[in-house]
Parts: sequence; C-alpha cells; structure tokens
Amino acid sequence: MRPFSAIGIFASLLLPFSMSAASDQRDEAYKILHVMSYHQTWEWNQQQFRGFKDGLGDLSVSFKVIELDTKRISDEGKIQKRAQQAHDLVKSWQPDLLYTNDDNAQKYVATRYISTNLPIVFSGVNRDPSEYGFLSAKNVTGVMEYEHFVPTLNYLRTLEPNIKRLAVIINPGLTWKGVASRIRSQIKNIPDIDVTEWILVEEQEEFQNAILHLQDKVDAIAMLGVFNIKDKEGNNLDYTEVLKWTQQNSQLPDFSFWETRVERGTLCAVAVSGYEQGLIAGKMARDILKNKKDPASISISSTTKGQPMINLKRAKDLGIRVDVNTLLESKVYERYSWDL
Amino acid sequence: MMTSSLKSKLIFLFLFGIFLTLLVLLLILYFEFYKNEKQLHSHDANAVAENIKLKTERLFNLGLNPDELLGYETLLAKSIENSEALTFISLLDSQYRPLYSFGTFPPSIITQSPLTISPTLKDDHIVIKPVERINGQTTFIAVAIDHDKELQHVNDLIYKVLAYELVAFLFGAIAVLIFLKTQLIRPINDLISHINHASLTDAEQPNNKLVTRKDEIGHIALAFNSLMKRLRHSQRSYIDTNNKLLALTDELESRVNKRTKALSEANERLDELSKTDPLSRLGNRLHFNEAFIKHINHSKRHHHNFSILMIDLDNFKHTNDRYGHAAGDFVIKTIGQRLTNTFRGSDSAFRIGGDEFVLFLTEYSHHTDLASLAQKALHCICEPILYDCIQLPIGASIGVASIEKHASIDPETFLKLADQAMYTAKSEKKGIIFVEGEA
Repeated sequence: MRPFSAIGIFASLLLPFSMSAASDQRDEAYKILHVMSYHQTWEWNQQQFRGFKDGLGDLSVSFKVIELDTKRISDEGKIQKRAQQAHDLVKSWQPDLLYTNDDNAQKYVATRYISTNLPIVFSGVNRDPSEYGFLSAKNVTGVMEYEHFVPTLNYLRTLEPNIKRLAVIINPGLTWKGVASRIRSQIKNIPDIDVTEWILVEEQEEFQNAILHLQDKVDAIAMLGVFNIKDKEGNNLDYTEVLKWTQQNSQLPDFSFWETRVERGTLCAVAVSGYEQGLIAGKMARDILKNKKDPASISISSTTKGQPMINLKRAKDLGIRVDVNTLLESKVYERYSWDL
Repeated sequence: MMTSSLKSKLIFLFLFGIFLTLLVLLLILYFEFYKNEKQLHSHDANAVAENIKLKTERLFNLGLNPDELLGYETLLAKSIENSEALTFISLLDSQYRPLYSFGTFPPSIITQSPLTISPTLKDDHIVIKPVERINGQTTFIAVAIDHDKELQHVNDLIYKVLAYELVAFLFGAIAVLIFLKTQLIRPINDLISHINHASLTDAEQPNNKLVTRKDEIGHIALAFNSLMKRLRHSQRSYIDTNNKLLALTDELESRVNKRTKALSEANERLDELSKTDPLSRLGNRLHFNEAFIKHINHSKRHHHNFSILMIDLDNFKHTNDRYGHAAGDFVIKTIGQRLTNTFRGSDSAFRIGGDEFVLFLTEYSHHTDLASLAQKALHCICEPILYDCIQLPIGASIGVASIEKHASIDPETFLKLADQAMYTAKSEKKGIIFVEGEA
C-alpha cells in the first residue's frame, strides 16, 4: 500500500493562463476546490484536470485538491477521513466553486452541498445523476461519462467478426451499476450478440477462476470493474497486475472503455476522453464564475465521441491480424505498459 | 458575302471581334486548363503518394512487415477513389515489383512486362516515393496518372467552356447588334435621311434630334446643316444673279433682236433699195438681171412658159422736156404703180432704164393669152396720166419674146430678140411686136 499522503494541496497552482484585464473583472483569483475520486497520478484524473483547466481559459484561479484515492483505498473509514478534509476546506477556505470528478467524489463530498450557494461542477460520473439528487439541485451541473459500448463492440467485431457471446466483469463499486444498466439496455439492439455472463468479482482467486472458466464459454470479455480486487491478504491488487495476468492467461479478445486499459493489455476500446469531459466541465465553471451563470441553467451534458484504440501486441498474441485501415484510424499501443 | 454597306461591315467587324476574342480565350483556357490539370494531377499524385507513404511508414513503425498489411489494397483504393486521373497506385518492393496494387496501369506509360516500374522511368505521369523502414529494405509507393483521362477531363472542361462561350457569343452578338442598331446604324440612317431630305429650296433646315447629339453624328449633322445654309445663301445669290443676268440677257437679246430686226429691215430696205427703182417702185436693172436668169433657168428646167415684154415709153423725153422732170418722174411713178397693180405677183415688172421697162410673164397657157397680156400691158401704160391737170402724152412700144419658142437660146440673145422686137415696134409705131415667128 502506498504511503498515505494526507492532503495533496496545490496552494498556488499558477497556471499558464493569459491575463486579460478586460475579460476578468475580479481582482482576486477564483478559488476552486477540486475533489478527485482517485489519485493525482492516475492518468484518467490527470486528463480530466488538464481539460478542466483548459476549459477555464484565461480565468485567474487558485486550486486546492483533495484525493479520495478510491482506486487504491477501499476502506470506508479512510475514504471518509479524506472526504472530511474536503468538507473542512469548504468551511475554512470557502471556495467559489467545487469541482468533483468520478462517482466517489459525488457520493462522499458533492452530495452534501446540494442546494447550497456553492456551485458544483462534476465530470466523469457514470451513475445516473438523479441518484445523487443532482437533477433537482439548482447549484449542480456537469458532464456525464457515458461509455461507448456499442462503438467498442463494433470495433471489436472488425477485429473478430464472429463474436456472439460476451462476458462482463465488474466489481461492486458505485461506477458499475450505471454502466451495467446501460450495457443491458444497449445490447438488446445489437443483433447476433448477447452478454451471456455477468461476473462480479472482489477477490483475486475469484477473478482468475472466472477468466479461466470463460475461455470456452464466451467469445470476448468486457474488462470493466477490475479495481479493488483483493488478494488473499485482503489488500487491493494493483490493477495493472490484474490485467497483466489476464494477458498472460486469457486467449479471449477483451475490451474496455478507457485508454489506460488498452495500455495495459486489453485488446481494444473506443475510449471515453477524460480530457474532453474535463474541458466541458471547465467551460461550465468559467460560465458560472465569470459570467455569473446559474448552474441550473447549464444542462448536464456528456461526451459523444470516443477514440478507437488497440493494443497491437495483444492482437498479435491473440493471433488477430488487424486491418491496416483500422490501425490507421486508431490509437495503437505497440506493447504492454510493463514492457516499457 | 460581304456587301459594301458600312452597317454590314461594322456588324461583321464586331461579331468577328467577339468571335476572335472568344476563340483566343478558348485557346488560352485550353492550354491553361491542360497545364493546370497536369499540375493539379501531379500535385494530387504527389499528395496521395506522400499520404500513403506516411501511413505505410506508420504501419511499418508499428512493427508490421510488408507481407502483414491486411486490407492494404482497400487503403490504396480509398486514396485514389476521388481522383479521375489517378488510376493506379502500388506499394513496390525494393526491386520495384508491386507488392500491393490498386487500379489500372495507364497504357500511355510504357513499362516492361511483367509490370515493373523502373526507377529510371522518365515520365511526368508517374510519381515514385521511397518508404522508409527501420531495419528493412526500402519499399516504394508509385502513383500513376492516366494521361488519357487527364486529356479527357480537359476536353470535358473545354466543351463546357465552349458551350458557355457559345451562349456568351449569342448574347454578346445580340447585345452588339442591338447596340449597333440603336447607337450607330439608326443614327447613321437618320443622318442619311436627314441629308436626303434636305433641299436647297427649304427656307431653313428643320432641326431634329440629330443636331442635339454630342457625338460625331451630331457634329456631322450640324456641319451639314451649316453647309446647307451656306449653299442656300449661295443659291439665293446665284438665283438673284442669274435672274439679273437673265434680265440683262433678255434685255440684250431684246435689244439685239430689235437691232437685228432693224438691221434686217434695214438690209431688206437696202436690198430692196438696191434692187428697187425708187421712182417706179419696180425692180431695177440689178434686180432684172438676177430675175431674168432665174426665170429663164427655171423655165427651161421645168418647161414653164416665160416671156419678156421689153417696153419703151413713147414721148417720155418730150414730156420731161416740156413739163419738167417732176412730170417725167410722175409718169414713171404712175406706170410703175399701174404695172404693179395690173400684173400678178408671179409676173415681174422692172425699170431697166430711164423709160425702159421689162415685164416678165409666166402665168399663161397659150400664146394667145400672151398677146392678150401684152395688150393689157400696153393699155395700162397708155392710159392717160393726169399731172397737174395736164394729160401727159405717154405711149409705149413693146417687144415680146417667149422662151418656149426659143428653148435653146441663151439669155443674152433672148433679151436681144425682145429688145429688137421693141425697137421694131417703136420704129414702125405698131405698139406690140412679137419676135419673128412668135406672132
């Protein structure tokens, strides 16, 4: 377990914003509290945060960041403790806006401030926003993360046309309920294919047995909830190791919806863009702060376009010849992240 | 066929000009299109080759070998699908042999068979680019441009342009014709009509819209009007002068006529005077000589009767001596008058001497008529003449000679005969004596 880092505070993240006196009528920088569900070095978070900052434009902003680190921490108490830091900061620092990304940050932090004067902008949320009470809240808006399931499936079928049976692997985390619900809804519209196996895993042995069991049961696996899988000692496995084991032991094509998976050996994805979500959220925040727009007047949106990507090494290991046209239209990972 | 009309020439000139312009434009466009088409297709070929080269390099950089490029033909096909002239694209190995190809190699590019594109092939219609490979042999991308399709495209463009040019020519021609008609031909015709209807007899050239024009036609109309004005003025002067001249001429002619008449009359009088005895008013000797020859000749030619009566007055000298020359003159005058009154115009009486007269007689048919006429002459002469209440004793002796009795005689002899007969009559106091043999 990685050492605990109590508070990741970016006291004065002076960003490369061009100062435009005409566009910013406030002398002091705006204060934004960013609560991330995961950790700072998590690329998905970095993409969103980068996009968010770009969306703010030339606005003068001062950030403070709280990591909930739920990718690596599953202990409820520890998570709550981190969340409390966020609440304390809201009270003491009195930010002008709260930016939260991914579902855990909504559950543990954002929901407390619904219908207050604190504007909230979120991104990367998979669950239905009504479950957090966002739809009726006047001070909340943001960007939903809707995975590109059908495009990903179509992409997979360009690589392996004969896929008819799918397995979906998830964990009990908040994120997957919404995802699973959408997959069930969308798969009905795709002829000749079905999810024949829904696998809920929490432990390593359970996961590995499931993968081995699926080898002659399905044609492809959706590698979705592979975080927080615990080893025999009850510690969270690094999901890279999970995916690495999968690459070494599974001969089935697999897919996901995030780039980090493909980088770590999942065959393919039409990936959601963390940057794009963060960018839209950043523009929303700018509208609220600079143009004094009411968050309720800004509709909750979602990203629409995904990036096709493929792990070519995985394709070769699976004996899949990839059409060059597909390769040219995709982001290609030539090797596994652990081979770098 | 060209007519001599200026209108036809102008129309021909304008239409030919437009046609020539469009033709030159078409030719220029053809060459420009061809050049641009070549450049465009060359640019396209280079762009396509470069694009495929980059993509191929990317594929090689992903670790794929040339024989692992699944779907590469589709990639090649997509790269040239929107180009009419790019008909062939290929990935070549290091020996320039095609590994993957799409399309038809243009027949206009000569290569050896089986299809091998030589690196030394010099042709504007093929582009060859090397594809870099790390740790591998160089491959090439070749793109071929179909020259025939290139030309076809240019021709299609030119046909379109030609169609537009024909339409433009048509509209241009109509516009030119309308323009010429309204701006040039009609004004010229108006000018011609204006000139044709101009008359020197008009008091003034009527003004019309021509003279208000600011162009050359207006200037011509103005100049013409000015000319006509001067001509009218000259004509009036001429007419005046002519009239004066005519008047003078008439007067002169009148005077000349008068003079001529007077002269003629004078000549007549002169002639008359030259041929007339002033006293008796009968022809004088000069007249007698002329008339005598004329009568004889006429009589001989036409076999007409002609006699002469040689008359000599008896007691004339005595009368002159006794009663004076005035009485003698009165006798001559009276006898002359009597002879004139008694004998017809065709007969002629002459005084050829102091008291000698000759009478020509032509209007008689028989000799007996002649004797009667001679008697008549004798009587009219011998009729008493009263002068100053005195009866003058005048008688006559007449000798008669007829030409029909002496056809071949000459005039002088004929006259002598008559004269002799007269002397015989005087000497024998017989009044009338015919020439011997004529009685």
